[in-house]
Amino acid sequence: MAILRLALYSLLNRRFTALLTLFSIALSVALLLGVERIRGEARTSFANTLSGTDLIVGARTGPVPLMLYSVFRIGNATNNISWQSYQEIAAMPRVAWTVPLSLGDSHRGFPVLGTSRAYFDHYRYGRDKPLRLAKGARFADLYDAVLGAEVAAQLGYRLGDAIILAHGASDVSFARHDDKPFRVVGILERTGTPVDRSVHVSLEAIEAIHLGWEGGAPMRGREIDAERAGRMDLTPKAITAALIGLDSRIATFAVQRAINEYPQEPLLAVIPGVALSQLWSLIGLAENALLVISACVLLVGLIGMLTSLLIGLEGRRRELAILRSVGARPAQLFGLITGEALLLTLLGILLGGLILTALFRLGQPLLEAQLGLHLGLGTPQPREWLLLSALLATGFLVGLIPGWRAYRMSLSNGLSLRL
Amino acid sequence: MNPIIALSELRFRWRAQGPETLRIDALEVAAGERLFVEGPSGSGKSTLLGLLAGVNQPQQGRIQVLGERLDQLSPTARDRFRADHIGYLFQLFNLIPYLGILDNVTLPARFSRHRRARALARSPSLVAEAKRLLTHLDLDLDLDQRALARQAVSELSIGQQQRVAAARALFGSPALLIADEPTSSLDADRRRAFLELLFAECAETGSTLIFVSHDASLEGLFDRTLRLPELNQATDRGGPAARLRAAPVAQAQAAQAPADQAPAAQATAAQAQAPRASAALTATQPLDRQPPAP
Repeated sequence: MAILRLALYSLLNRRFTALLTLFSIALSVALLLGVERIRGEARTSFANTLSGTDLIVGARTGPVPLMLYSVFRIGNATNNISWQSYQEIAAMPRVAWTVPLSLGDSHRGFPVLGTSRAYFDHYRYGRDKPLRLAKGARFADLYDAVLGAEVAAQLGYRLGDAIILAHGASDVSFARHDDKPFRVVGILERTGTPVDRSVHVSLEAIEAIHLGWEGGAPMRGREIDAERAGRMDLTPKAITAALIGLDSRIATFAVQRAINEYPQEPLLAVIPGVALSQLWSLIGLAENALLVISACVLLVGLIGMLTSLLIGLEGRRRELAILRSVGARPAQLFGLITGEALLLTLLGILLGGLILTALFRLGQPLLEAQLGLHLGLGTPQPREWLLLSALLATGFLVGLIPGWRAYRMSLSNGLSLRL
Repeated sequence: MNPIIALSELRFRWRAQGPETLRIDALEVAAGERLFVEGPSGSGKSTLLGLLAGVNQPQQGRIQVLGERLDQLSPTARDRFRADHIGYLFQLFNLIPYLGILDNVTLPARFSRHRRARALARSPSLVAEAKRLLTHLDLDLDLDQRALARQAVSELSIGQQQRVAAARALFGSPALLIADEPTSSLDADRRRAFLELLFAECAETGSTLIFVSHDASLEGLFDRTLRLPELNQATDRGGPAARLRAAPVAQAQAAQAPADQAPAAQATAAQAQAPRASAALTATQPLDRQPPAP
């Protein structure tokens, strides 16, 4: 107890260098924890995006790209599925439900998703949570749109507002579907998934706004006004992908094989969980590199602490001899020096945690808006506790070096001071 | 009555294969004695003090302090023993820079329950005892407790620092006070004044004082002088062992004092007893000079 108090006083006495050391440790702790937290949250957020869907079907590419563009709206599809194939898949035995997804248009940077009303029934996120409307209703009319929470919040839309969709991802005047404005009829509750950043319209609406756009741009003289389009046959010819639910999980592999070997068209069916784990193994490499870098930064911080403790030790020979003379055991002097390292590490961890919390609190809206990433500010996860314990242990181990030197010094020098 | 310190057949070397640093066949110090240990640098003074304080351990021989065989105690038990019974004064920089004056003085109580108890037996609190000692040592400080607790020891003059250090060494009335040239940084007047304060305080607590210095002018103030180069037969550290063994044992004829005040006059040790309550110059027998080794 006496030794711990002495360690504290001694640190206070050298508060400038101690504070610098503390800050370097705190910042590296914040970095390490931040990387770990974002990594964990990104995984959770990815894993939480889709649930209850047994298979994702699209044109033949790789499992990861298919999942990325169909569910996470990252990247673009290279090919579509024909409407006929989709119909046949929907009619397969064991297929309980299907949700068509048609992507490619955008509204002021937000992706537009053409789908059916079944989307609102079957799309699940998190732990089997269904989508819920915060305001309004699902689309009923042809030119109705349902907005994700983020779209409405960022663009300040309310029910009844008119919006113009743009062809493709860019929003330039010649690529706007401005002859067919949409009306906001519903706004979804926040989900923390890409749904928040999507504009949902019906498949038929997607078909309607592209009438006369068969060449990729409106053909002069062949414009079809909104009302006339509504009276035409708006059965889609192709969709981007489809979500499929089965009546039994056991059938998953059989249906997957049937789709993958579908003779009329090259298709790909992936199990979301499998595609996710493939994604992790891909991202894991970068994640680990990032983690290793932050661990190195932390190591640098700890080596800084070691340096300052070792340098400080030279100036503390007197102090150690005095403590020896009043009866301090070499082990207690060892404890004094090691205790300082431990105290610095512990305070560094606490301060680092505070810095991280402050940063997250400040950066949260930005991250959520830009990446759709929701960062939890709750208590550390088991992995983080593990990381922190390892960190504390490392700080202790680093402190053993000057502690051991102090121990040796007090044994060899005794009460004589060779300065 | 037993001597407070009794050494016999003592051999010490810093490294197992290194030269002998200290070789003392016999030495005794009586309780309450004020012993002046004189010798040039390298004569083994610090080594002897380290052995008496139980910091170092001899390879051979007996060290008995307060009836306890230090050479037979474990390192931890010796540390405990030192904490309980020995006050130690260094030459310079005696104080821990990051503790206030009062914390420096009461430091021994943090390491020893005995000294804590003895301090509390004399004063109602540790702080009160510290202040009492500081006042006794004529420390001209504003004794307002808060100011004293906060005041950095680095703000004190060297003389004041040494007095605070003396208060720490005397805190909790240790039976043995070891001082390693504590006055060498003081000028002559202050040196004498400091010693008189130290003597008075030792007399009050009944502490035995072992005072090391190479300043022979102080010698007359002590009960007895121990010339280490003569006592330590290993002064030629590194020289042939045979020659060292052949050297005569340093002996001094003790001027016998009244028996009640010289309870431990032993034939083997140089003894010079004088009334110890006085800080004035007392009779000190010059020791037989040993011819320096070639």
